[in-house]
Amino acid sequence: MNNIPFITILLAMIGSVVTLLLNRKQKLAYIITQLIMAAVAVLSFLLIPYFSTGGGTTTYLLGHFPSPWGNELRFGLMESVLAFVFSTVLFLSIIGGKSGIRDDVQSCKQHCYYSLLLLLLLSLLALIYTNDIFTAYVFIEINTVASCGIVMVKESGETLKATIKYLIMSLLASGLFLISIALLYAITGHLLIPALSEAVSGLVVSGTYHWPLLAAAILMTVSLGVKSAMFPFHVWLPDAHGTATTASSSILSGVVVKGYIVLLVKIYYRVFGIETIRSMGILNIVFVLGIAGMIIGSIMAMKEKNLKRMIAYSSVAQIGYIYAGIGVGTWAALAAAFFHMIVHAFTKPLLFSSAGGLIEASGHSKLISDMTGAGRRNKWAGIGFIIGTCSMIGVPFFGGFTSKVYLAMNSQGFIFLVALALSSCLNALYYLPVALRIFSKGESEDILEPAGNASNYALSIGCFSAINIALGVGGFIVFNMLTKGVEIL
Amino acid sequence: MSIISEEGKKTLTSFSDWVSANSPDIPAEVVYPPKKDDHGHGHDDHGHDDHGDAHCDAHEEAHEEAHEELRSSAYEALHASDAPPAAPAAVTAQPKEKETVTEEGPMTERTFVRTLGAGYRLIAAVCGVLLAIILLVTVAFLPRFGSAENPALNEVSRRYLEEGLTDTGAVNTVAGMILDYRAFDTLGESIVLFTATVTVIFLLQQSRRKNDEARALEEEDLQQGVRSLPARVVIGIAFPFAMLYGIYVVLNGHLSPGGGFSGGTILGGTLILAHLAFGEQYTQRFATITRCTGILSVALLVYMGLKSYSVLTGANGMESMVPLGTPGSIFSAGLIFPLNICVGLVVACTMFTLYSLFTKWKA
Repeated sequence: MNNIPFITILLAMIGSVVTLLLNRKQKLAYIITQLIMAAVAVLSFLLIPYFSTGGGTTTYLLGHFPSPWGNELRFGLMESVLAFVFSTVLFLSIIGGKSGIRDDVQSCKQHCYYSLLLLLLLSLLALIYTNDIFTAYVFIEINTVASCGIVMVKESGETLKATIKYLIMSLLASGLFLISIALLYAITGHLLIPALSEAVSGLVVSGTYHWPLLAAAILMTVSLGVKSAMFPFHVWLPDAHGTATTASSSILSGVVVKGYIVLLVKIYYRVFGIETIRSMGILNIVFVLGIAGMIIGSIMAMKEKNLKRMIAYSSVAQIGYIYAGIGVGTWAALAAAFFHMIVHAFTKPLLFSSAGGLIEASGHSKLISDMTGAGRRNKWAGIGFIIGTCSMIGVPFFGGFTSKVYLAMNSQGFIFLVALALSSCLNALYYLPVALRIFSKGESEDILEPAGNASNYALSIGCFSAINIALGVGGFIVFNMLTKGVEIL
Repeated sequence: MSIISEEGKKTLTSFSDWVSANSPDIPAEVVYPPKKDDHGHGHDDHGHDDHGDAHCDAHEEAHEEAHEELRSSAYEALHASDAPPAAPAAVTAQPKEKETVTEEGPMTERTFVRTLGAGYRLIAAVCGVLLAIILLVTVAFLPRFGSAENPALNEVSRRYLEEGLTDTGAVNTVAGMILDYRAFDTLGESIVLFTATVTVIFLLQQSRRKNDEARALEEEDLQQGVRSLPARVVIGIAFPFAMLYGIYVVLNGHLSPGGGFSGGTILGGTLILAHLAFGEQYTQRFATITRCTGILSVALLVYMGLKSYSVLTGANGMESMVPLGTPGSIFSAGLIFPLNICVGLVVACTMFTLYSLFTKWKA
């Protein structure tokens, strides 16, 4: 049982190398990728009952040397839930985006794309499980390069431009993260999280090296904030997520951004300790930036005429929810933030996949004004979009409603409640017109034929929708699990 | 894929270009007259052979053409009295392109974007200076470099230095640290190189196509190397020795300073030198992109296999069966010796693959 996390990482590693070698057999590369994603999801799922009954966490030596000397993994309930969610989202997004991959990626290069997807899975798993901040940095590098790779796969001018923007900002953030690790190492001499947190708490008590500690905490927040599109650092996100191929957009917004948030939470709670972060004032800043992201992301989304960019701006707002929840700083609010993260991880890929179908059904135009009746031509995309919309707005019995209720219950103050209400209204204002438009009758009805759907697209949309409704109805089970999970984070 | 370079150039020329290109509402045509002569219809001359991506090529070419036509027609509509009726035809032919030419915004909006660009530059400068000041101040508060009371001189580095030999069997402590104590990080680093290779292959690998004369000349250079005699002679003499030295550094990684990363760099650099001097015709005999990718993948797989053996035994409380050997002899230090070879191969193949992909790539 304890070997499962390492085995999942190893599977993804081997898969990524093998798929690169299959340059004549694209179909086989696809099958191998999906088998590995499914295997990782199943294996991670096996861990959930093990930890939810047994509790506690396990540290796993990567080699023969214990904590302050060798690399380690550490996992518990939280980590296994996240690994399961991330691999499932990847699996379903690739199924749903398969036709997009076929159209957008040159057929002679598809095996490279699958290899990059497996590298992404591998880096996400390592980010979730790692017990060592330098290992985290190494896998952040892999994640950065691979996610830039999957943005540029379309090889059109606008995706390359978006990739360059994303690459520059991401590399800046990586550099800041490395600098903050160097600062922490200089004042503590440790890289493994248990030893590091002990040394940091010693420094906090004695009051020495206050300034480098503060600088390291700020740099970590900024660098992971850039990578996870925290509000003022979100400028790369609409371009990157709005122009990439459907599967890439789903994966980037659904899981890649979340991996960094998980790492930031780990650093707050396990390296610095949440009380230290609070006394430094960083928690309040994160809270304020989260609130600002909630409102401004929604306003930006309202102004967009391009459907995919609108959904991408909506991600900025949703990430704002997560950061505001983290910024409250109580266990329950943190669990609510994680719950919202999971709901968003299942909703945004649904919206992007549906948007891909709608765009295809309206003659490859991304403009909302051209979408009239698209939902009637592509039924599955239309239904998926409606369900995603309901979840994002927070209609009862959909995932988004439950997560917003939990966030509101733990909001600890008036501001968050008002921001939640306002942002939900704004969400409704930009999602509902699109939802109505795609089902209204337009004069283009005769020009464009109804689009047929491959069964795998229907499967992907169906699964995402079902999970969304399941999270809305039975969300309390997941939330209770997360509440248990965060306390042993 | 000619569009890549064109768009890329546009992206990188200057910030204001970028701003105007980035906002669909701004008529970029006013700033740039149509460049028909440069590249508008040049694509018809480039034959695209069908390497399985004829569809993509055709699509992108159409994309580029439509873009140019729209741009030039919009320009003429703005400035010339007789607007050609080509614009609506282009729009209906390529509905995909609608997002780049939605509507023409008023002139004031352009100046607004200009000022916005200047403002961004100012903010960027202020942020950069602030960050530099913060970092400099922070460095002033750090412990003194090299002092004996450094917090970094704790039980971690003490064990690495004092018990490294008995723990890992490597005389070179650095090799012991990166390939035994923290070998998982090094595996991660190798995968970073692998990821970079995959991404560059993705971006630059393309089907062969016909070249014009200037390119043919350049091609000849690539094929046969530089024509400078001294360079060919010196590199010809140095090549075997440099290769041998690289192999020495890799193999002695656990005994003397060096190891997979530095030795691999020497090997890769030597291959690149040979490619420069004698051209692709020569290096093709032993190192092609396909072969390098193959070696890279196999080396990585071997690394993963060996590391997973050590992880699975270490984490489950079993002793590693790999003997450490006598410190100082070439077959010692357990897994460090093969891991060094793997890392060396990964680094050398990555360097050479990236280099040959970049030299082969043409806009």
